[in-house]
Amino acid sequence: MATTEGNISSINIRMYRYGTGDFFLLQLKKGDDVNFNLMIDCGCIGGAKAGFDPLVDDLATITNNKIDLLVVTHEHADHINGFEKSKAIFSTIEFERVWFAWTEDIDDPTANDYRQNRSKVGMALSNAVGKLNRLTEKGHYKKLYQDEKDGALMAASKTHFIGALDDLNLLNISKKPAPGEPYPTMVDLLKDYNVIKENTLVEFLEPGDTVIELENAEGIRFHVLGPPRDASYLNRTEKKGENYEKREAPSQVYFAFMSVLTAEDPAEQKSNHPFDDEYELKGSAGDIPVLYASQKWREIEYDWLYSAGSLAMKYESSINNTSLALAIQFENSEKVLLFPGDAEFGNWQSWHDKLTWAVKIGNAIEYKDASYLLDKTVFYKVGHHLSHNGTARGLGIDLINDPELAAMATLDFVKINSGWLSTMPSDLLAAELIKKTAGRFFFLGDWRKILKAIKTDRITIKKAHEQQLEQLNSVFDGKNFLEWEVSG
Amino acid sequence: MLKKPPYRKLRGYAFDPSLSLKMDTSLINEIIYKIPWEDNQERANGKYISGSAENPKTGRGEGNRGKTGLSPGPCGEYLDVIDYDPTVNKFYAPVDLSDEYILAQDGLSPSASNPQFHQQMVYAVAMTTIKNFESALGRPVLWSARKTEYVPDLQRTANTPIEVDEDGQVKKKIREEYVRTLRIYPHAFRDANAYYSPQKKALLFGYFSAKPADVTLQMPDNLTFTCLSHDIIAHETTHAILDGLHRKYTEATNPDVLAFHEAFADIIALFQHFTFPEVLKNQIAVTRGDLASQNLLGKLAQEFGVAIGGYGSLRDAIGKFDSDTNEWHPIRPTGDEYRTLMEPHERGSILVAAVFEAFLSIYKSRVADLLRIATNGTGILPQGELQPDLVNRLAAEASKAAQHVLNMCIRAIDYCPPVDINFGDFLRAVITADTDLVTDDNRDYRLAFIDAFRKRGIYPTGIKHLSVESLSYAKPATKDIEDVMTILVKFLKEYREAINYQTDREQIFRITQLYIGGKYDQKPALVGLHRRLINKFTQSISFEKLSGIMFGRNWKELGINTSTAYLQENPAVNVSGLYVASRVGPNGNKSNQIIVQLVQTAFLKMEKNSKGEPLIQPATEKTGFGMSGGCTLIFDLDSVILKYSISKPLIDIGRLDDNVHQIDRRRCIAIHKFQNPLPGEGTQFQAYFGMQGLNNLNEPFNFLHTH
Repeated sequence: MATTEGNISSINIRMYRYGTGDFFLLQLKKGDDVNFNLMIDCGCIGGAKAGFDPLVDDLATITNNKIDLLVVTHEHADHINGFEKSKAIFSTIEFERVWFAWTEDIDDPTANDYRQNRSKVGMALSNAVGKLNRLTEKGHYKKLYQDEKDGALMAASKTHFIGALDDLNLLNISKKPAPGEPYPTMVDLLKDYNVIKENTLVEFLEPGDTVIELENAEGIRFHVLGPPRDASYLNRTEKKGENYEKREAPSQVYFAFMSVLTAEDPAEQKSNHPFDDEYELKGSAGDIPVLYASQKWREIEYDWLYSAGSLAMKYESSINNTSLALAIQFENSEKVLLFPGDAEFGNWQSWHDKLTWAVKIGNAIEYKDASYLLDKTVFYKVGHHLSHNGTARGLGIDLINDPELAAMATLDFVKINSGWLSTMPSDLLAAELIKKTAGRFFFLGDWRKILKAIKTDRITIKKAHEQQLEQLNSVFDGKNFLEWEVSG
Repeated sequence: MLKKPPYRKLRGYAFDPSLSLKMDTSLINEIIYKIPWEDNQERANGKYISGSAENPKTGRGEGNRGKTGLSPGPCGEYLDVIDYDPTVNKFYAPVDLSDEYILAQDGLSPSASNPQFHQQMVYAVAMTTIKNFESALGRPVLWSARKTEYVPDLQRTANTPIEVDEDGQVKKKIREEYVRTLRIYPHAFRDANAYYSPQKKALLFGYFSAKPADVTLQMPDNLTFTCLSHDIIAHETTHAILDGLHRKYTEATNPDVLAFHEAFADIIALFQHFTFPEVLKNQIAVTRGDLASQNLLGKLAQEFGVAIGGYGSLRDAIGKFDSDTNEWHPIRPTGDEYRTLMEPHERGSILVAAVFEAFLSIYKSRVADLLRIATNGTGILPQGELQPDLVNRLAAEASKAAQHVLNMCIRAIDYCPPVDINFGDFLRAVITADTDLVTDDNRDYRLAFIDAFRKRGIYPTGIKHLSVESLSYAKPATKDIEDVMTILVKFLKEYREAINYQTDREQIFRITQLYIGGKYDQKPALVGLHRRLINKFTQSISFEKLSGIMFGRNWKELGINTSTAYLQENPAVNVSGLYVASRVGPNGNKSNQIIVQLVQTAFLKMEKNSKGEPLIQPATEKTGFGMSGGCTLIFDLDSVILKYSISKPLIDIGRLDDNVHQIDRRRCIAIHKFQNPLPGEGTQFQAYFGMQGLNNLNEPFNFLHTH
């Protein structure tokens, strides 16, 4: 039973394993008693009800249908789709409090701007992807390339491209607003699924915030690292040497592309025409359309839609950068558990931009910067499924040096986005983490396969570390979760 | 009787519309392009003869549109501009350059809001680029052929066996179709991009809304049209021309191949700036003759660079803007560039900067005397504006030096290997080509090149030290195949006779096809080059050594396909190019050469042996990856010899003396490693959407420009 006496002495971290995606339960304990249930995200790429239900059942059972705090990091399907799929079970669970990033706050004008813009990008992307998917369904490319040398391979590479784009788009759970209504937030979604109930407390967090003295979580400080308030950070992704200089905002360079895909009425369509009507081809010179149509292999009907590829990637990154990144700290030992969501480079970088957090050292409150929090990190939920751009180097992993460090990566090769298969895991990052954790590194998916993919020619792993990794992971073979306990 | 005019004059931007909005550049930005005159298409009863496709069903052949003269589009002998915007499903009326009002005023006046001017602009710049290539190469530009497959007609091929593939299907044959015009779509998509499509034989230009970093340079949300930028049009046209000369350069087999495509396209665009006299004079005056300082000539795609959020041009051959201080400063080579920069555009910039530096050294040495005269030997120019006569003289020297450098680069293309090129190969090609034609390098042009490449860490492999002598290719050893070579050269001379006075591009294409493939079903029969090579060099170790291509017995063990042409089994080999190069040097010395490109492909699997070392195993097209090797053979028709063999061996040359045929291991491992990047290598976009070695089949240049 929950008690208000004494401080939290340990945290048990349970990573549910369905597929690539985050679904965590942190049980904050005083002695042997669970005092506070903290849930972070619930998602899996391409996840279905049948896959989620047993896991959510387990969650309901061991928490006695009560979650003290739910943290929703960001709006990608691989972090939130479980709430919808298992909404029947979630409706039986009591949620005391739910945290979102400030970007979901409907009273925040900047957040509303972002969301309106994001919603437009999302709509444009799904329209483009819809059009391209219809082409592959119709066998368009097979027919188009039937006479070409290597035509089958050409069609295959187009199908691959469209498939990767489709997969990327599946991350986006978009909801179109009703006319005149504001753009829906994740709060609206979670209310729809009956996760957020009438008496659930919804809070929005800002970078620099430190939440203390949550009831039943005595002795724990929640430091909010991201997402950044400065919009320019949101579009930054990892770059070699971390000196990223480009400031291309997808919404602006792609404005003309998006507006033609989202135009709803003739007047809006007309406003998209780049030239006046008088220049349009009419009447006599009509042999040009005939000539154009007579050489199918040279047509460009659909090529313009491929621009959706780079837009989708930039969009994915900028949403990853809206991740609510938390450092959960034990007051007594100063140890930190780092949960960055899927934060990419811009989010990590912003933590170091003049931010400080209130930390209790002895009996005094001191203001410490991000380097301090990283230095105290003993548990790291690896950002963005172990991709090379989900963990910053100089501003991130290089500053995490505690000998006690353990890590968990939510990566699985069975259920994964096809584009991610070629970017995850980053062998260099994984090797660095195996070294820093001395093998206390857990994988959501089949650890044997992931370890094999990590072992490229350019990295080396110590035998002892590998044995430790094997020992720790194999305990959970066949189980639907992995666990690690951090004592405060 | 009036003579035909040599030129059609067309107005256009020297750079792009953004420079017309600045006071200091607006005057020089509007120039007149002089395009080789194409006759106006005949009109019947005042209307153009409609040119529909020959066969609307198959889409084969392009009909007569543009063939009998320039028709609205513009559509002529080389280019076919079709202004269709699929994003809004609209065709725009084609500009009629033969309209008397348009003729009388040197084309439409530059305007971003008139799509007909856009059509005129792409035509003018693309034709200018083509003309520059033709004058340097000494032969017409041909676009790369379209390769299609067909099921062979069972009756007609009685004397060649029908081949069956692994699944029992009749093996399709490959046909190379002549493509007369490069299609240009000025408004093809909405993105900050433009690309050459090797599949469509088309240039696609995008337009997009601007996102300027500095709103004083450009209005936000203003549409930026890539088809209005001289640099972008010249760049994309060069991609198309290079693909016509070296088809395999779209296959990325090492970090340099695509970077070379990019760099070469940039080099052409840059040096074309020097062919605009008013621009050149203006910039000489502005920089007081110092072209190494910030100037318009060394910058590429200025409007584009600003529109996507940069402070200056997209690329700059001599300097860059510091993003913190917004100040331009020159870039000094560190010597590390070639080893560290891998992204194709960044890597390409190394080559561009090297060539540009070579140009600057040449220019400086050419104007040294002028400056001495103008400064009474002090070398210090007086304050204030330069004397106009001095400006003219300096501009003339700059223009000459630029023309020389441009010609050296274009000529070198014929001396490059047909596959897997790297920057070192290009340096050797420049030096060899120049040594061939210019006997007396009294101005040290070659040294200028070697020095600029050396400063950036570009060293050709297998060279003991950097000097003109060691960089020029040596004559290959042909001792025991001398007789055969003589016969071959005689045949090549016949080819030259057949093609020498041919000006029709389609005829050149057909005659070349005939001399490569031969003619066996009609009289008089002609034994083609391909058959001759196979007959003459079967199991010739000497020829294998110089070409790096397999003619021995055990080709199947090396994963090389079997050809059953000519009723016998042989290792498949492809004659991928056959060109005549007749050139005249500065001293009037002529060189008559024939260039033959041979390519052979092995299909391989990369496995590991028990020690974890790479093990190369033969495979098939379906199960393995392709590794191509080949050579460029340069025959001198006057001395009747094989002068050079520039090869990227498929087989291990070193083991041939022991009569061992095996795949060149070093190249094979390098290609495999490059085409299977580890996470974090290569761009994220490629990792998500690409298919490694097959990217050349899916708009390689669109992929390359997207990131």
